[in-house]
Amino acid sequence: MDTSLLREILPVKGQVLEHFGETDWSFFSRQPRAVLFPHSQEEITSVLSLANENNWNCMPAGNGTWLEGCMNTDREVNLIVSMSKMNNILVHEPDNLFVELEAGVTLEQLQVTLRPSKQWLPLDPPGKNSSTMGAIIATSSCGALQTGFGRPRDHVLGATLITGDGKTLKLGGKTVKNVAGFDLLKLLSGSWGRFGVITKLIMRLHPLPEADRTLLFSSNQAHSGTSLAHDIMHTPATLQSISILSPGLREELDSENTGVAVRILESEAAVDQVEALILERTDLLPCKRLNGSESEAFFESLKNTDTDSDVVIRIKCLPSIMKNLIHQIEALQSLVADDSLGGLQFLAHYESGILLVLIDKLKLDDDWLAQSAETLKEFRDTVEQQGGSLTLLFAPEALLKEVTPWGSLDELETLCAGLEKVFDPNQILSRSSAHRSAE
Amino acid sequence: MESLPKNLARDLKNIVGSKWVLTDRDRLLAYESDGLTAYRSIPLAVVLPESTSQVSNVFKLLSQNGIKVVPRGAGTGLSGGALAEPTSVIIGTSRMNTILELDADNRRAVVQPGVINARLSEVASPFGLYYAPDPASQSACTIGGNVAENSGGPHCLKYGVTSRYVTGLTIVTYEGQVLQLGGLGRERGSYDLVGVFVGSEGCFGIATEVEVKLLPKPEAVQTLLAIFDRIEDAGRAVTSIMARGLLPAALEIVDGATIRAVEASVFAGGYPADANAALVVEFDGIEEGLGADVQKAVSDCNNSGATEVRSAATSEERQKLWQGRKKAFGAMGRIATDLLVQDATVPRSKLPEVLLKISEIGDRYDLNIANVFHAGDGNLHPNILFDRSDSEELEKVELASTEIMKLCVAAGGTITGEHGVGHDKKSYMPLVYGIEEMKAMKKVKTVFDPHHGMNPGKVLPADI
Ligand SMILES: Cc1cc2nc3c(=O)[nH]c(=O)nc-3n(C[C@H](O)[C@H](O)[C@H](O)COP(=O)(O)OP(=O)(O)OC[C@H]3O[C@@H](n4cnc5c(N)ncnc54)[C@H](O)[C@@H]3O)c2cc1C
Ligand SMILES: Cc1cc2nc3c(=O)[nH]c(=O)nc-3n(C[C@H](O)[C@H](O)[C@H](O)COP(=O)(O)OP(=O)(O)OC[C@H]3O[C@@H](n4cnc5c(N)ncnc54)[C@H](O)[C@@H]3O)c2cc1C
Repeated sequence: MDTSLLREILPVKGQVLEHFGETDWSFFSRQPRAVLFPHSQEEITSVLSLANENNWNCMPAGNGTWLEGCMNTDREVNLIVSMSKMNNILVHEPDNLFVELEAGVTLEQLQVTLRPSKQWLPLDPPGKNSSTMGAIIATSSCGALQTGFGRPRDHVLGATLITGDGKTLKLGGKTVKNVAGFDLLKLLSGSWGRFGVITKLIMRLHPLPEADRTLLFSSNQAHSGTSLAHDIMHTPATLQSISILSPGLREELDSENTGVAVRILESEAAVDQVEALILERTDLLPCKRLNGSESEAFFESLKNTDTDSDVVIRIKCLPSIMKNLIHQIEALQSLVADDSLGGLQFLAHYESGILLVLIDKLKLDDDWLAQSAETLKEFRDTVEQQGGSLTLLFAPEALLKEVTPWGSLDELETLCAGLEKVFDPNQILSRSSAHRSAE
Repeated sequence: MESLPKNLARDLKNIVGSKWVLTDRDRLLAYESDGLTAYRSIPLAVVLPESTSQVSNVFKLLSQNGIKVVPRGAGTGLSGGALAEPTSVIIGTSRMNTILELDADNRRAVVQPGVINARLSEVASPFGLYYAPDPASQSACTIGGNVAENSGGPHCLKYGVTSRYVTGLTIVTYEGQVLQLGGLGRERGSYDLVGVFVGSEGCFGIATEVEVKLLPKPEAVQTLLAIFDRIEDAGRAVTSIMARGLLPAALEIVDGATIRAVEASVFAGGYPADANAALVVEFDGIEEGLGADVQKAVSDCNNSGATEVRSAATSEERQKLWQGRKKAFGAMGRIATDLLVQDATVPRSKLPEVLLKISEIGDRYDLNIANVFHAGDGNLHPNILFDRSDSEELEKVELASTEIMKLCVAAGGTITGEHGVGHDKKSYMPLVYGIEEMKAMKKVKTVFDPHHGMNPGKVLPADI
């Protein structure tokens, strides 16, 4: 690969990184030939055009903190195109509750900018504060707040995408309501960089709530974690998140019992009333109350619960079957290393039907791979029999390849592969398709 | 007039039952247009299946014979989306009107596409739940039509539009393949196939089952009606209410022309007939929180020049305050031979300026334009009153519409906020998209519908 051609497009020092030293851009033990740091959309277009001509495989990225996500196994990459130098907030119109930004802006940078206007983007993806907005959308990462505010796709009003073949598409717009043409914008959330580089985003903002309160409950004989969550969910009020935590997951909760954390983001006038309604539903079970920055900090730490885990599994199911599934995750205990401290933990966002299973440390004995894969596949069957799904979000690559992130997509494979070809006809971004799971 | 080959008619009847294949001209007349009556065309036939498997068999038969299909719900669409060429067959969903599952425990429902929007909320009501997207046509329009148009409604300001609530779909492609997309309780791959199908205006496939999220009914509701001498002032009140961080459930404006039409009709709600704008502000949620919000909104209205602010104490009074908004189309329909309900959006702060310019456009073309709109979302509905038999006036309507679209786009908005592009707005698509965007849209349609048999001639200009 002749990187001098790239240097002609990206002439500024540091724009083409070929010698990595301290910085690590490898993923699943693969090192890209170079990491590129474009400063403009034009540069990205030129890079992708050149890559098409030369058949170089590319992968868009933000700050590179989550390149080992499940969609990137088997991905052949010569060049990583990082958005981290395109990190300007372009327009913030508080009156119109939107912000336009370059995709390399981090969520933290955005929230800090919005705060003086008493606005925010109610998203809490797992991971570091250095997560870029482009990556959050591309990976559709979200946390507890999805219950009250929706997933990343619900916050995106518009975007610019430079497709795999170097075309610039401006999708959506600045207004909340927009049904002009087919909604291709939706495809960007969860695209994992396989349709192109997201360069700009227009995000819908919300007013910062006056009051932020978290109620922490511990389960007991009479109230299991799921029955508490169920009762709270049916409080006649909108709650921003209802999370169930395995015993000991967070030090704020007692280490013996399953915990339930409920977040209320409301006006000062309404917060007490919402709390009273919840307590009425929970038979006045005692709870710990966190207010303001304490409440915020609790959820901030909760979102990073999985950051040291060897394996992260996301189960999606209807809330009503979560109780069963929480019992059944015991079946995964055989994957856990004997000396693992945390062992097997879980974190559920009840109303959203998300159950994250975290394996702190995998048991790596002789035939760990075959055994773990078998156990996971069996467990996937158990979940699917109850109507749910199991996604292997994060795991050693060998295990990801055996188990596959989603299982078979059957008749949807053709649709998904077709969509990849629309945006990336030469497949420089998706040489190994995300969806040919059984290959 | 084209006619359906006899053997094909027979085979279709074998699938759905002979009553449910309509080929008589008289019966087909009812399907010649949707709510946008300016365009009319009689389809080759109408087929009314009752299940996904019937739809699949019908589609297989028609696609094998190269006959294109147009899905149709209640036909309340306002962009000619369900308009069928004389060579196409309409697939109506009126018999697919069963609520298949009402799962209160998980706050979800699975419905057939022909279920009427308002009925879903009625059925969910005893469980303390409702379906949030509430198009003004909700007593007639179908969930399938809502999915296809990604419909909104007055309360979408706070709660979001249809796409936020559709969690799973069963669709049938033109070739008759049945596909399950998404699902509240499961994830299949990473691409948002449900998201891209919602709003596809019947061009990707037909939705035969729709899984939706339901919401708990708010504990309390408070409604205000503010009266203004100038519509720009009402627009300013909207901006200040939103800018101070309040999130009302609805913020709707009706202009003077509309107020007078409603007040002169049987729907009169007691709005002052000399007012030039009325703003409906509604808050919902927890009882305790509402009072303070309402007070702030009242002061915003007063500071923006409201001449009067009324509030509703009872549910009947609430209905009355809403009357001018909810009955606007009905009342206007009575005073004009024809009504073109336009639909466009602008960033909210641009409302005052854009409204003024719309009224200038009306004056210039000597057309009556009445405005009723979802102000909180910046979603305008300039309604042009005209007489279709007057060809000169028809031409003026066309020119004025184009100017309004250009004006909204120039203000940072777009050509449709909720009614869709359909047949009507194809020619405006280049105002908001370049060739590459439109080509990408066509290619995505082709992934779902490789033979281009679904709802031909809609959404994209012919030369794309
Ligand atoms: C320790 C840790 C744990 C995490 N756990 C989870 C989890 O459990 N679930 C979850 O969903 N997420 C998880 N994340 C991901 C996280 O929420 C963010 O999505 C991620 O951190 C984004 O950061 P980044 O900018 O470094 O992305 P990167 O690592 O640079 O990129 C991540 C992916 O997004 C694509 N991408 C990035 N930017 C763009 C762009 N502009 N255009 C197109 N594609 C792009 C890349 O191709 C890549 O595949 C975790 C992250 C970390 C660091
Ligand atoms: C008085 C009045 C007020 C209105 N107010 C609003 C409003 O507040 N907000 C709003 O958004 N709209 C509004 N509308 C427009 C209209 O009601 C909506 O677009 C509605 O969603 C159309 O539903 P329908 O069942 O009548 O669909 P139709 O008009 O029959 O069809 C609309 C489109 O959907 C497609 N379609 C229908 N069913 C299916 C299916 N099952 N699968 C795939 N495609 C399908 C058709 O092919 C067509 O393209 C209003 C209309 C009127 C007449």
